[in-house]
Amino acid sequence: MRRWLRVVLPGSEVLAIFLGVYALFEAFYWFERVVLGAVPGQELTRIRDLVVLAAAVHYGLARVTRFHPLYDNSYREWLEKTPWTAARPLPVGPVHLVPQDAIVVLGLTLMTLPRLASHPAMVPLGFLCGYLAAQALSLWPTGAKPFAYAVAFGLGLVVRFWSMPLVALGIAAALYVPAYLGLRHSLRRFPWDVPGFFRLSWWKSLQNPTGEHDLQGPRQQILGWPYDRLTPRPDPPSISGLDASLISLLAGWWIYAIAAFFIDAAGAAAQPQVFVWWLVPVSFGLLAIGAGIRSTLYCWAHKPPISVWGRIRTFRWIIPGYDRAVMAPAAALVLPQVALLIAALVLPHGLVSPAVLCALPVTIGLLILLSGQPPLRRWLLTGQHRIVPGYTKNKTLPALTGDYFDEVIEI
Amino acid sequence: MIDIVNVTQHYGVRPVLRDVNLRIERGELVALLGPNGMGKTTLLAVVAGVLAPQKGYVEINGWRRRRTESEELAIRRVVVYLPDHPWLPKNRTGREFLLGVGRLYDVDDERLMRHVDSLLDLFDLRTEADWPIRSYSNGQQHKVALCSALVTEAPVLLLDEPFSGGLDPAGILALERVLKHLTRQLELTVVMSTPVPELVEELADRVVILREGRIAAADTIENLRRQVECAGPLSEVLGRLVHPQSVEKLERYLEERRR
Repeated sequence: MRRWLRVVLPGSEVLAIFLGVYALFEAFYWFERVVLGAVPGQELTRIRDLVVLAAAVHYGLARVTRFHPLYDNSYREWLEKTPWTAARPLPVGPVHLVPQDAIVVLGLTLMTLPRLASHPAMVPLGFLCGYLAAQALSLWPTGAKPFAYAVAFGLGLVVRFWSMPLVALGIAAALYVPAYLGLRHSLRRFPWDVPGFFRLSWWKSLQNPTGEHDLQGPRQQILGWPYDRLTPRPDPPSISGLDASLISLLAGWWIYAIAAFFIDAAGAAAQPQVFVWWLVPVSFGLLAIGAGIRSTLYCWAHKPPISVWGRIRTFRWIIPGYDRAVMAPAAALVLPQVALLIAALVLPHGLVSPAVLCALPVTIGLLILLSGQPPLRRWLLTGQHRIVPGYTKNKTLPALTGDYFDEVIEI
Repeated sequence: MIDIVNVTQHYGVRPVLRDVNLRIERGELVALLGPNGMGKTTLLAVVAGVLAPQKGYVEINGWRRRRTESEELAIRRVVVYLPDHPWLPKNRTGREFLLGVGRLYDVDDERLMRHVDSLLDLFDLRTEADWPIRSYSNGQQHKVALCSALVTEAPVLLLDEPFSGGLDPAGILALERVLKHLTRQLELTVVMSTPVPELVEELADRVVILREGRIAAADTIENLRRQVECAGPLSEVLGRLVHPQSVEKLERYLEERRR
């Protein structure tokens, strides 16, 4: 039984920590009840249930990240060199759900049953949410985008109905179908053209803090100035118009679902605005971070052709060839506010849900940030900028070059 | 072929290049000469695509810099630029770095490995080839940077002060011979800047002298000598072209001292 279960169980350290924390809460409860003779309040049990819920979410995430070749560079690279096909099981363990998962989740659920403080469906729901979220993230870069979007949009629906655990559980269970189909689809497309994000050295160093990967030679490395900036093979991150639109809609849908959940939680008597309007500044904060990231991607190491003083003195206050790079971030911060203002002022009161008004700026802003002109590659190659190394003399930062070192060294 | 057309460049208010026009033919080795701050590095950077000029443009083999993505990429594949202070990946060995650069320019693997070996040998870096670059002296770092430009086998080399940076006499000799071979035998185009005229006297097909951001002269060394009626060393020719008043002042001063 133990060997059978061990296929999916997390490491013994994780298991020991979880069981230790759980036992501590139970010991507190029984100490208070038996030794002190008092009736403990529900708070202790609620916290205990939260610990179990967190364990269920973690287990769901780990079921994908521990077994999916996407998340382990060494595993994926080894698998690429073997005759493995999707018709065979994955050598390290299954990513799809297996009967052992049901045993683990049932066990976790049973741990919350004594002195029931929360809905018993919350544990399987937490597990499925963790599992499906990790699945959606892994389906996107492995050639199963439609399934990834289906699962991600569906998870928004789960959030929307979070206050009705059984309904939410039903939706999450139904979402396993696209997640499973997507997984099969992506495994059939192996080996994947994995995005640079998963090949970055820092990602490897997270996986392997001992630095052993250095001995194998990281794929992504810098060649220093000027080869990194004047590379004939630029590979900046890019996103299609369809993906930009779907991701923007997805973000808006999630904000809507969260806002609607809070409105539901507040109840009919409460003023929903009180509970949801805090989401608006949060949304704008996130958009500001996004605008900062986009500006950094575009302008870091690509400076204006002339200095600010030069602009002022030569009356070239606007340089279209350069300033177009900051148009999209500026628009992403301004236009959503305008849209929100118009929606709030023009539309009749009560016609549009406050949850929709929360989602609107995020969708518009993110769409502008992701698809605003010019695309990064075009900007890097044709922008009217002054290219500089972009790092100080003593520092070297990853650059947008390809993977050159190990391929050559492997000959 | 490199065409520099009406290029004007300024970082702030003062123009560093003013209406520069120059054509460099295939297989030519052109040396940019001039005192410090006259725009040699800026002109090279404009040709290299590091700077976008405020006016004018640069065309290489008929492709215009930064006009379209495909044109810019086509140029980047055939041009390699080595600034006077390149920043090398210090934790990589010299050999790894050179292999990486060669790979970046799609040099065939076997050919690349042979070329790297011979370059390391040529520049006396065979012993240090597999040491991290951080352990190299300044001169050795400069040598490995030069090797990186050569290993690309790009048909257009833009070298900013390649003979400075602590290069030893053997390295200078090796570089001179290699550049000569590349231009005369393989018809590579080389544009290099140097503040020291003597180094290019034997080497350059044509010398371009910059003065206050303008081209003061662009011709063969012999023609330049004829132009200023000076049979002396190239530094004197340069002096007469760049600072004619200074030369006159110097001659006047020396004449007075003789009396």
